[in-house]
Amino acid sequence: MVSSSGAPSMVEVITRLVGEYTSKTPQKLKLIDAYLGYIMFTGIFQFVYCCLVGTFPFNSFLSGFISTVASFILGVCLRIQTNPANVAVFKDISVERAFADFIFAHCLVMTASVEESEEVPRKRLKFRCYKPHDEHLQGKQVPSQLSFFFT
Amino acid sequence: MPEPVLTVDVNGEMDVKAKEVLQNADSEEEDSKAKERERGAKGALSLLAVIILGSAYLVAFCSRLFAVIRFESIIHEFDPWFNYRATHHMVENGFYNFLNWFDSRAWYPLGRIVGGTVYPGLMLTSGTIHYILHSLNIPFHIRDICVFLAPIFSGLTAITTFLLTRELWSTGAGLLAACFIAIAPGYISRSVAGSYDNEGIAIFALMLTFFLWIRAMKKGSVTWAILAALSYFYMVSAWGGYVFITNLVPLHVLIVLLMGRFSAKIYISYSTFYIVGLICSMQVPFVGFQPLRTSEHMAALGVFGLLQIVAFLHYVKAATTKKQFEVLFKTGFLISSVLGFVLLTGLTWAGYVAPWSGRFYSLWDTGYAKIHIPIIASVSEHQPTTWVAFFFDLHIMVPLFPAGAWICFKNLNTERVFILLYAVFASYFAGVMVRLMLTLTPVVCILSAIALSVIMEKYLTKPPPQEEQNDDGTIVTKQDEGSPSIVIMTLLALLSLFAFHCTWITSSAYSSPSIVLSTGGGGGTRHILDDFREAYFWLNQNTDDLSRVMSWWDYGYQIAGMANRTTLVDNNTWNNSHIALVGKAMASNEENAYKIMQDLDVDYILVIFGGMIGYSGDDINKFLWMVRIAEGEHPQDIQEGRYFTPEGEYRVDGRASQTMLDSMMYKMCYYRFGEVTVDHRQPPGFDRTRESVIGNRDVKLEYIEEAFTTTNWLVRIYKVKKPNNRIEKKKRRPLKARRPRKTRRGEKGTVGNTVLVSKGKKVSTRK
Amino acid sequence: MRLWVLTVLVAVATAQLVNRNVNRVVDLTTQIAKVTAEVEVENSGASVVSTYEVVVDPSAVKHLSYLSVSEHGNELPVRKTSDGVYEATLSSSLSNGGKTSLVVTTTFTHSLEPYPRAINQPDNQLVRFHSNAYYYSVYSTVEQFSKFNLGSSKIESFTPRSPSNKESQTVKYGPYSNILAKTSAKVTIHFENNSPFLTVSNLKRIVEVSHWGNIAVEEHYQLSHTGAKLKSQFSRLDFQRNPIGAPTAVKSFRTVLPASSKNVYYRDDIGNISTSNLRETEDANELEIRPRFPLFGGWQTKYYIGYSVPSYEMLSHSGQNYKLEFPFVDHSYDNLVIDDAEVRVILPEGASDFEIVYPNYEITREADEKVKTYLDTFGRPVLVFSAKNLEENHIKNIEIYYKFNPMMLLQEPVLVVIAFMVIFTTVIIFVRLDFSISVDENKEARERVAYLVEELFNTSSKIKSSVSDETVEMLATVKAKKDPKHFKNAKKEIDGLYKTLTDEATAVTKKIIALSPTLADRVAEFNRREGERKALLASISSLAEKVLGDKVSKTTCNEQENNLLSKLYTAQTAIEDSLAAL
Repeated sequence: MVSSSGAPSMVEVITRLVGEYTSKTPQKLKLIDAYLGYIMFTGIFQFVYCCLVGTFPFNSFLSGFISTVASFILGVCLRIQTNPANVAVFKDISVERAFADFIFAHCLVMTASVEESEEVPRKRLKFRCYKPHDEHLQGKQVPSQLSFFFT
Repeated sequence: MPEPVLTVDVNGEMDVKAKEVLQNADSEEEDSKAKERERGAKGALSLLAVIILGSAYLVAFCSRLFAVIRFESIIHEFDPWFNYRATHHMVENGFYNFLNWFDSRAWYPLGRIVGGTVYPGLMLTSGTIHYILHSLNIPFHIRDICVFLAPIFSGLTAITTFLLTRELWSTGAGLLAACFIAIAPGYISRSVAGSYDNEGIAIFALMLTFFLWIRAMKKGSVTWAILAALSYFYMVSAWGGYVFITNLVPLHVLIVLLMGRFSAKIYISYSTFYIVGLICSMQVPFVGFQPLRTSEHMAALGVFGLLQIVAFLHYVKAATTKKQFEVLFKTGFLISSVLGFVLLTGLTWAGYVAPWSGRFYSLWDTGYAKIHIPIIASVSEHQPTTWVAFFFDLHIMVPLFPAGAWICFKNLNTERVFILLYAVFASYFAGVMVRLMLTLTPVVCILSAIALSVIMEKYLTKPPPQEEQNDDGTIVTKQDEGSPSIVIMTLLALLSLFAFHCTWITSSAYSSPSIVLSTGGGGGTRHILDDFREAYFWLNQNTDDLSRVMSWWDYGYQIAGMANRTTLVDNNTWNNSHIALVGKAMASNEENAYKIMQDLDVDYILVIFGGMIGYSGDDINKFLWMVRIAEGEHPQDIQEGRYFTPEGEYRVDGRASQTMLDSMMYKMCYYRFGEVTVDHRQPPGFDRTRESVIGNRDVKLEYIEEAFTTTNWLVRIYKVKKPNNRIEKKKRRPLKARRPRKTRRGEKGTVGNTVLVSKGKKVSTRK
Repeated sequence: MRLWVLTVLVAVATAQLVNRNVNRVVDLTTQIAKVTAEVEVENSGASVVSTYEVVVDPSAVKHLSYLSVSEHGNELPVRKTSDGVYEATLSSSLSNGGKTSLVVTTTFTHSLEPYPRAINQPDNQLVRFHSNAYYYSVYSTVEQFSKFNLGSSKIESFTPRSPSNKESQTVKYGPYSNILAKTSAKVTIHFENNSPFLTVSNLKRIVEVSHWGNIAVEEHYQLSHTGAKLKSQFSRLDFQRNPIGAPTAVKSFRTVLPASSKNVYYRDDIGNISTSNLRETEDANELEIRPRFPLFGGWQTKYYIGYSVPSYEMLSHSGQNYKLEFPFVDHSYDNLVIDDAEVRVILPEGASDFEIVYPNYEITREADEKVKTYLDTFGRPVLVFSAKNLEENHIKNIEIYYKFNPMMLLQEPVLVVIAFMVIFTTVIIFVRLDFSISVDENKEARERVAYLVEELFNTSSKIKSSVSDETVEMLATVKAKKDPKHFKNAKKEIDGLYKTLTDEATAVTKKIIALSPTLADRVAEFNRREGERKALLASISSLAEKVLGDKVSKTTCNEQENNLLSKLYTAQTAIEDSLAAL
């Protein structure tokens, strides 16, 4: 629907988008989209929760949030690679190959997230209160190695 | 060839999808033509390529072995000694104990959390190789593995450079690039056998990451992007210069977006690379949360966000009309850019995002370090590069490199944008700091290989026979005989000159272990000066295990590694004030220095003195930096101006200032040197390095005594005397504690329960 | 009770022998005290005596390092009965009145006590030696005389015991007469001794035997200077200016290695030590070692040296029995003193049944160990021995007998061969496996088509080389020679060849069409161009016939020839292009 009088309004654009989406996208892609929506919801939920409750322990928030972002990105990649409209672009990546990549990448991301979330107790225990000999350095530029003490 | 999919919408413009397909078709045609060219002799070519790569590996390995052959298999310089000690600790105590290692024998009395302040990639690599070899019952000592690790990985760098250049141009260029980087002096300088430092494996990881990134971008597959992210993880664990990749790859994506070459492949490759790389890089304890908190990593995050937005807009564009899309685009762009900018500035201002750290900020503002962080400025590797250094390290690649860049620019595609960006930024950084010549060398090798390959292909292949119309109407084929032989001969001569130059440079300039000095005696014999190891071994054998050695931070790692004694400051230089304290002790007179040394529990002091043999890297030449660093922390006690002559010169002879003559460093270096006749033409006490007779020829030491001096007076060790016995005053009879006559028992005191006291009134505490 | 009987017996036994004359020389010039006593023994009792008992002064027993008794130059077997008491079996028993002369040699380590205990760098070192003025024996001595060689004329003091006097570098005690058994008179001599007081506090010697022809020896030393400690500072200036200004410092010493040793290295924990000199002489190789820094009193250093010796020097065998003979400790420096020595012998994998013949001093055998190095599977046996308080006289051979199956020697090369074979087999298998994720049905068909196209290409090029080139040549020869018979034969040959090849080509094209119908039009193109070429070849041969029959003139012949040739050339390139398109 194109209005004949100048620039279309946002509402028209969005209605057009939604219409196109529901009619033209195949079933498989809609399934992936639903999964992506769920991931986005979990991500936003985690972020809001972190804003409310505070960032300690930062490790666990990061691992959870980044794993949602990573899953979202991988889902989008899968969607792009299996979209029949893009077959000409991804000639040597069959649908099975795209899915296999998706699984492999997920294994890696999950392992990394688990490692990240486990780092908390180790770090905190080993960090005794050895304050450096330089209280007067607080105001000056902090070398990057020292920034570890402030995390 | 697949038929292009064209959808023409109402306004008669081609759809975006079709453009993509056509673009891909372009590169496909190129690919198939290249395949055809190679079809005929494919088998022979790949064998030749393998042989050439194998030879490049061998040459890379062997040309780094000069120091091992001339001297022995030993760790060089200063920093590698710490890496070796850390690796040794890891091999002895296991990986978990290494990650949690708290080193109490460094930075006394502070200690150092090694696990969290070191890049573990290097130690892990050697440790893994050691473990594999020992499980096969091949008993290599960990020191030998450490010494030869850099040559092994430099051969691997040659192979990955080949792969990268083959992605960018062709196999021929790739082989040339591999051969160039195998012998380029810019890379050899930091990866000789014995130089066990991060750069040895970091350049390999850099090339590997770049190769995998280009591959991922070309194929658009998630696997390649994951591999690139894993290689990036390895790079993060290996070197602090990983920030270069963190900023170069997003910049590449940004430029590609601005050029209008957005495609699904770029989206897939960068998003996967970034997010997986992010979570993997945060596994390294030293890096920690920096990727989300420092300005150096914000560019990657910004481009990531931008890419998501662009991809979404792309997807939407396919479904809407042009005008509708414009509306959406404008509003969306406005909102998102404003939001993003405000957010970033706000976070930086509020302190959640740290500003650029000193080390990296000094790359932009080159005068910053000298004023604010003199330690960084004092390191000789951080000085700006001279013109000579470029030619010294790169030889004929210097003119070929811009030619290659121009050729890439003329035949631009997405991959070549990347290499051009790398070239531009690497050139800038190499100009700022000598140490960063290392990152410039690979890209120079690649681009000059491309230029050379293009020239050679033009002049080595016969052009196809031209069909010409002859006079009598018949068609005759003619062969075009150019003059290729002259050009080819010149190029071959240049290349052999290059090989000769590189080998000569390696042999003469970059193969000295710096822990063993050698001078050429008369008649070609080599006279070896092993003073450093003599002094360190003496310390190791003849001092108490828990004794503490004070020296300038340059030698900290060597003392910890070879003498195995507790040091006060070392090359990590993470604590500026502690170094300033040591500098103050060296620069003050004996009495004040003794107080500082007692505070710090120092048992021995070690100084390097080169006046006997003319060694110019000794502590007297570094003394001014000690003064400057001390002045930065204690400006009331130490002033740099007082160490100069009234004319403003820095001298050690009779015209030196009194503060200079009284300083600990002067006294320790020249103790009893006034009686030494170094050269029969000069009076006694002639300092060969400064070329002057020393000012105070009769140095008297009160609080320290000489413990050991090496054969050529290079290292001098002094022992700090214990305080003199105190003279006890006659004791008075101790006063007996008398009880107050009236004792009130059972009465509560007033510690916990505060009693209100008003003037004049007697306070009753009975309860 | 038993003790009383024993003493009576001993008294009875000892009552028999008498030391007629004892001439004792105590050599105190080096850090080791060497006592050589020439004893004339007489049997004054009734019974026959076959043993001579040597007893060491109880105060000096803990420093005793070596003891030997020899008679007329032949060493007698000595047995230790208790701490400090040794019994030597005489070569021939002594009857009543029998005389013999023995030489009793004893050495004591760490018995020279530096006094003062700490000195300055330029000072001389003074040591004290506590000894006995008399020859301590279980027999009474009739006449005796002792001489202490000091090696230096500076004698601080000595305990006088008349008649005793000092001469230039000696102190003499005696002669004394009729001294009863086990009498001691303590004397102390305080004199200057600047000889090097080096002690090896710990020696670890590793002998690795390989039946491939090499024995590698490596010795780890912990060396310390046990003289008077250095009291104050070490001044390098004084040390360098006056080479003899530091009398007690040890700058270098000489190690003697076996004559056939090669690949000698001298290193320590932090690398190679370059200050050494190797001199090869006929009897031995002398390695002059200079430690990294000069050793003063109380200082110590650590180093290791190693060398290789060809195995025939130490190893001998008969059948499966092998004998390894090597010195337990070697000549590390003159006047060697070793506090603790550990010798490890690493024998090849598969050695077993060990038997050891020890030299005549006390060596303890520790538990066997196993070590794994290059290409080992179950580890090599390591025999560990240890001994204490050794000095130069303990440089004696130890013999080890073991059994070894020569087949085990081949174990190492066979292991390498098997490893390579496994690698190659794995690669061969892996390359032939199909790891593709999705099944590509057309792949096989495509591969077959590609193979057939390759065949077609070969056939076509054969046609070109054999048929068309031959035809052109034929034309040329006909022009030159005009030989009809030759022409007929050639034509027949060419025709026959052409027919077979075209048949092949048609068969292949049919197969291609059968497999992939999409390529039908290109195959048709190819066939058409083949047909063109056929026509051209036919016209060439007809031209040749004409020439043969002189039916055409030269010029027309040449014209037509050129025409046909160029057309043939274009046709051939067209065929190649069409093949490439397939």
